[in-house]
Amino acid sequence: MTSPQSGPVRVLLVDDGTLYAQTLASMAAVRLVEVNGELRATDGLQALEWLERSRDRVDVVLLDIQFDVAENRLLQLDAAASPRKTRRFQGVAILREIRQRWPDLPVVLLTELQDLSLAEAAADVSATPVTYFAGAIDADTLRIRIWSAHAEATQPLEDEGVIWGRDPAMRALRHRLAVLARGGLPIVMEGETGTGKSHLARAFVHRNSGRRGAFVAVDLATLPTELVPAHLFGALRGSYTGSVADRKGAFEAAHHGTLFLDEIQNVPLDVQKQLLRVLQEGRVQPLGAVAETAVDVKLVVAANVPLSELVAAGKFRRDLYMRLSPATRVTVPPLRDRRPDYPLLLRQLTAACAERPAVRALVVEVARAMGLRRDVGLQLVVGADLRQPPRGDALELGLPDMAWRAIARHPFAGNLREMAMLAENLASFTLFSAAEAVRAGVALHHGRLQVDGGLVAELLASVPTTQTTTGVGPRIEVKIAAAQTLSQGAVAVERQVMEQLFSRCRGDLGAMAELLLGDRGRARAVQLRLNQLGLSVRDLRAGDES
Amino acid sequence: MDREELLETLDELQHDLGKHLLMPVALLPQTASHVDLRDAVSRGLRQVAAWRAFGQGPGRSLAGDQAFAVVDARVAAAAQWGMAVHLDRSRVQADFAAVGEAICAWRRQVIGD
Repeated sequence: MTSPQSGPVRVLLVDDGTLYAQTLASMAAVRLVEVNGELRATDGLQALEWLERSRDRVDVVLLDIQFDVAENRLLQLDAAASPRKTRRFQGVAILREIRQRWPDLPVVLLTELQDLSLAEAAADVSATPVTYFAGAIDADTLRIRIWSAHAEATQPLEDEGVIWGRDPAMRALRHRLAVLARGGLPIVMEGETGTGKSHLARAFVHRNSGRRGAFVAVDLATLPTELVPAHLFGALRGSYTGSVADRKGAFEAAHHGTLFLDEIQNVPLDVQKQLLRVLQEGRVQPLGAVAETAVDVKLVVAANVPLSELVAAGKFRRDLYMRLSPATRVTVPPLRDRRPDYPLLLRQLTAACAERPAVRALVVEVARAMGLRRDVGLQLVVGADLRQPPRGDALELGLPDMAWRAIARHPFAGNLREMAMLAENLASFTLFSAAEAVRAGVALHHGRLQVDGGLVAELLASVPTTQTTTGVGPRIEVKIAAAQTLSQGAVAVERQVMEQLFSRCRGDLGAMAELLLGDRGRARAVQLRLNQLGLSVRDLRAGDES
Repeated sequence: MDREELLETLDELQHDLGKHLLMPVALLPQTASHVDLRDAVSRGLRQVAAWRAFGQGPGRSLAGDQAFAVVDARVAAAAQWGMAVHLDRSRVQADFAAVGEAICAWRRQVIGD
């Protein structure tokens, strides 16, 4: 057993007894750090003092629960706890301190989760990330727990296209998904819309499943109910109205691969029964077919509401829920629970949006004007890095501190999807202004563009809230024309709406903001939206005057 | 002894007997010698003193209790290994683990779980 980097795992043992120290001292793969001449810290105070000085010298803390030490060496458990109880659960008090000061430091508790009294004393303990329970006591289990805790804590911030970040819950999720991906059971992913469940299924689960077949995703929220069975299980020609050819179902398409069923809560109850049968027997029967076809798929299902609640409400079959195995359920945390990861995520999403053709063209144009290589990336710079000069190996976007603080406070109800849109908008607007300046002959050579703090505030404020407005606004007629995609069609409709509103409001953006957002003060948000739609205020005014 | 007092005592017994009785043997490598095993058994059995102290002190009034009797019998079975000539590690471990299980069961009974 070696650490993911190299050498033995460095362990700080916090234990008032000597047995673990003796056992661990003989394990080649573990190196106990020395505290005041001993291979252990004998109480919490000593451990915390040592960690304050030497946190970077330890990989994992191994922590006992009961400490029979003098009263003046005890950390307070809670105000009402007797010295006896404080001794009994001293490990909990130490763990709380460690979590507060070093939230990323993995801790293995030398106890079992089933220790009933421990669970009563500290419900928060079992819910603490990067905290592990030694479980059944034997040397091999101990070795595995120490190694797992260390491996999980040292995994990269980003791999296989997934930004795991430093958030302990995400790191635990990675570990769990890596295990579940290899197994034969279905995986149930729960989490709010926009948390990246589909991306996790494709980029991580499928890639780590060891399966050579295709990854097939089915969004059950957008599929018409009557088409769900044919889409999932396949259909023979003529088996339903409009069926003009044999159709292979998603299960067959994902044979030897991974099938991702998004928003599974939308599967009608009668189809749930068919789905259960496929899961139980590993065979599908296309509509209209007599014979069944064997299928071998890794099934990943996602829901943006807890399935257990739907079961309780009678909207999801209990037997299907049980067959999907609640034991393999994972929860993808909402973005607001990953605030320490905001800088990393926003940086990565900014870099990623530079690969989109529209943004790429602007990056190339501005980079060339600044004398940078045309293939440079786009890098967001925040905090202390702003005080450093641009490095020259990327086109930098500097985010002012005040703007950053606003982002850090933002709840991102739309999760990663919303943050990705924010990153792309920040990049687009900032680059667009710079490109216009370049075209007008302004010389740029600093290598870093400052993001407008006001722009950030406007973009954050323009996110729809759950508030509803009352009253009926003006009626607007739009002409519908076929477009290549729904998005293009929607943009065309919105352009017409905005043009007509502009005209009715006589070019008063404040009045438009009042109609659209219920707030006259948000005229800038309207202007930004007009820009996004490719509508120039100057052109609109000129059109109205003519 | 009131309910809260009993629960606290059972917690401590679980720590001493449930954990520290078993640990010295459980943590031994599979390749441990007979001498090391004997030493681990002796170290573990020192914890039996905690049970005796309880039985002769605060636990005296509970001596007629069924749960007390179960733990007492399991402690006695574990203590037998201190005098055994031949030590069978898996049986030792099972007997030592049974003490902790009995204390846990008692605790669950007290809290009505």
